[in-house]
Amino acid sequence: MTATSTLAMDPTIKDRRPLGARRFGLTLVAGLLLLVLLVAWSVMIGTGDISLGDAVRALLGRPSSRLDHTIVIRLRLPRALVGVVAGGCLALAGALSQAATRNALASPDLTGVSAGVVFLTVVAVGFGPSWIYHPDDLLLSPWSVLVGALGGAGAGALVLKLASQRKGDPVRLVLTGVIVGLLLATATSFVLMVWGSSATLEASFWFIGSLNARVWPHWNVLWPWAAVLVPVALAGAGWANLLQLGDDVAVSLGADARRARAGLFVVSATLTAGALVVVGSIGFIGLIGPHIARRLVGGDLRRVLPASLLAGAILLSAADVGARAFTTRALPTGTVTALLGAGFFLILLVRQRSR
Amino acid sequence: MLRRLWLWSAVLGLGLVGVGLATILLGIPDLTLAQLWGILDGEGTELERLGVYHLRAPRLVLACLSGAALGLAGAIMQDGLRNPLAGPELLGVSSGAATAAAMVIVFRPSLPGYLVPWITLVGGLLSAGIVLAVIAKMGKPSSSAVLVLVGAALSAAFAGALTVVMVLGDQQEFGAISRFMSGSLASIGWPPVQRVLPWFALGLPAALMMGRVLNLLQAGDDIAESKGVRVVRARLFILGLGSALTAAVVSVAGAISFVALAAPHVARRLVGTNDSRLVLPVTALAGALQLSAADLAARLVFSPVEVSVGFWTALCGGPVLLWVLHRHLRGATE
Repeated sequence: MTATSTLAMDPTIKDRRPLGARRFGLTLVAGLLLLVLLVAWSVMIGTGDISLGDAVRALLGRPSSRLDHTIVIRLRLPRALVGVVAGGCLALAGALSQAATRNALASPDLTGVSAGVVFLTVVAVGFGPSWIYHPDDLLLSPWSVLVGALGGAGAGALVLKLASQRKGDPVRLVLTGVIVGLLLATATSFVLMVWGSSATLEASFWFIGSLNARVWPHWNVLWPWAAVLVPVALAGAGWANLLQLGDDVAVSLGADARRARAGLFVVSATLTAGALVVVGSIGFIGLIGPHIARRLVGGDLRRVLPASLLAGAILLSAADVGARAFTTRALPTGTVTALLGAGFFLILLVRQRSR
Repeated sequence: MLRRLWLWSAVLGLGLVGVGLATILLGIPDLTLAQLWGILDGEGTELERLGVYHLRAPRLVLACLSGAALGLAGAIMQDGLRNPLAGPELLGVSSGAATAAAMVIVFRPSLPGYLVPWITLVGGLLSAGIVLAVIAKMGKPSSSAVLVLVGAALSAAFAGALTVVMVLGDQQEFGAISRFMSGSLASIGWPPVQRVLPWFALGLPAALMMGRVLNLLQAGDDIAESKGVRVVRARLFILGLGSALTAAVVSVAGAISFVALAAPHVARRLVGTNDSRLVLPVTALAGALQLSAADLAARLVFSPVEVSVGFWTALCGGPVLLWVLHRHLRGATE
């Protein structure tokens, strides 16, 4: 018996080859390269293509024309950066909530968290205190993230309570989440209709998730939250690892399982809120990102969390580039992720059942 | 059982008459009963006659028929698939049909009206077909939760497709399509009602006559087979019929949720039995009452602003759905 076989008995990394740190590092480097390529491509394409050389010159502060500077620096760079960070936050949130609930399907959009974020944010916009909502296009203030996080955590807690997760199979939680999400979505559209003001009209465009027209002010809402929450989330990997082993094991190893779970859950909801407040309701990144990450780097959350961050960033950037490369209309990025994500979700369900 | 059936049918029927009268009388302008008699005798101003005959009456008829159709679609799907959460909205049939309707609005606005229900039916059936194919692919007999989740995934995909269609259309179409997404009876006048009338005339009686087969299917596939029911064929027929009823409603009123989910459960509770022969007629009445009452609320509560009827059906249907879900989950653990 070698060390490999004892590792293989660990329930969290069953069926996974134990990966060396070197392979993990290589995966990250490859992912980063891919991300850089996508960002470069994202800066180049659009209404008025810009060559790679011109784009790089503009980025380095020596644009070959005034127009290039405006397009690259003012429009496309912030959009690409928002996509990278928002995608990363969403996938990281998904990985955390999947670990906290020990449920591979528990992403923010399938547990009602996203719907809760959208609902409470729209309500806040409807009441319209100035610290929530700037009258600029599609821009919510940084503080609205707190409101959204409250809504997301509340909806998620309700779903967990209704499904009484610890007893059942993973599908129960998601079934409850989907139905609570459906009800919240109805409530959201009601709020939009009743407060038929211009603010809520803009909000209804906001929640069709998209990276269109995301510029520097949006980036300024997003990055402080990401800068705080991403390190916190990554630091929680040890806890998440313990929770993945099951409550009994976690407690016997000295962890306060309830508090750890609640903590991870709140961080996950806040990450979701931070991303959604800026890009609108973009779905399925939180489901797909962590799955890809686990396939590539195994089950150890100290590796899964950073890999999820990277995978989410790549996914959202790729969806955005795809949406712009193949259509001339301003297709909302959220539609691309919905179409791809739904198919992915079906495959996961089939796999889960036929196992 | 039978006494409860008659009792509750009478109660629901009376409720329906009350809501119907209110629908005809209330709004802008409000009418009194005496005025209504006058209008029926050919008196009253032009505006009042127009309001009663060409706006409120077709709306009431459409609400009753659509409500009954949705309720029955939900009831036959739930019993036929032995799944308390089945229904056109959670199986993705509604969103498939709504996407098809949106595509008609954007790409073929000149399409003759009587063809629209066929197109929405194709959308609905496509979605139901994918759900069935995925379930079949899973091999094992799967829990009802899985069926609903597959439906939810398809709904998400269709919602994405719907947004694509909306983006391809122009601003005016955007409004029309939003209406389709949440459902509204605020069209219309008689022409759309006439358009779907044949669908209801065939579909509603067909659904009401399914009682015996549904009872056998509920008892289990083996029993049903032994009594001469071809189970697979019966299920396909039920799915097709439910989709057709839903598609007819969607083609004129959009994707109205929570009627098909809630009405059958309320009916079963009221009659106190799962016997489909008794449940189906009560379901039709309950659905008609739910939708016409919701439409009344949509018109009046925030008057003069009209709120989508879908919200009001959700308001009464949502708690029922949560209750069913709760019972279902509890049953699954025991």
